[in-house]
Amino acid sequence: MARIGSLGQFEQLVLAAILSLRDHAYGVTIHGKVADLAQPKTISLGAVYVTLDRLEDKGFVSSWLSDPTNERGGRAKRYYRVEAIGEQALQESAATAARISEVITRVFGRDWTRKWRKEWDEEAG
Amino acid sequence: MPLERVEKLFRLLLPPAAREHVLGDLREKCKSRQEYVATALPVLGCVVFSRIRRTTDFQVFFMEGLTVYLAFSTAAWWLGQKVFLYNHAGFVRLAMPTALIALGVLLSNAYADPAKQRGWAQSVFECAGCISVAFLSASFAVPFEILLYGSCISLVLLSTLRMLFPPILSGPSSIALSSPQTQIKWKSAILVAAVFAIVVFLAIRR
Repeated sequence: MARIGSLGQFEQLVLAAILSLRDHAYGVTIHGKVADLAQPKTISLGAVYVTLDRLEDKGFVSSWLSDPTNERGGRAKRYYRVEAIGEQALQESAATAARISEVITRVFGRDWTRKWRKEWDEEAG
Repeated sequence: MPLERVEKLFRLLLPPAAREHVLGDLREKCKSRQEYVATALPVLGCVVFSRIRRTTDFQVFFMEGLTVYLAFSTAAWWLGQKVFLYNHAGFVRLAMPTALIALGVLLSNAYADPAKQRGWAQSVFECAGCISVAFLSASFAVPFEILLYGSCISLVLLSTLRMLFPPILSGPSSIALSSPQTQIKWKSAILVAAVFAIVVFLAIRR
């Protein structure tokens, strides 16, 4: 099987956001979704643009311009879609994250992991 | 200043390739002028950085930088400015117009419009713009004669290079970089670097 380039953490967040938004993935919605996923960290819109460009260069996502809409002052939206290679890269990242989570649970114990998750969720609101 | 005017200002500052969707996103996201400016300023920096990364082939950029430095060094050498070169840190001071031109090249790559056809006139115009800015800005660091001759040589060489290797405007940059042309570009860059090293070596020996 051909080797796929690895994904950074922020790239994983952006890819996951595009994947979950399906046909409504454009700058503003992607930024909103990434901000939700990355809580309590704050995410800038500029960082999302840079990452989208990088993911497009890697061939993980593709983009196209829509028709202009009035709510945006007559400007078009740039929609993004995850390509097959991007989905595969995200699956690999998810598998790695699951393995890391497993190790943490094994070392620190289930109770500690549950407590830690609860604290993290509270912090994220 | 009303929101429309702020938007017009950012329209001028944003690279044409990202203008449409970024301005639309900012309009949709920001309701007040303050919010617009606070969001748009960091976005502008990120978008310009991203366009530079996507449009610039850094092997060609390296070659262009060396060519310009070589042009100014040659001009200084040819004009017999040995006192400037050896006693007044001339080789270091010549890096100043080179750096300014290199910055201009990066920005002209980022602001190149992918929708427009690129001809030789555009390459010459861009280079002339970068060199003029460097000419005016570096006049306190480098003698006028060297700047004048160096700029003329730079204009010819840099325009030629930019005609041969234009900025990457269509498609992802990684595709362009993995093309067979990449090896040729590296060879050209190494050739320019070798010529440059020989000239500097001969200059220092004398």
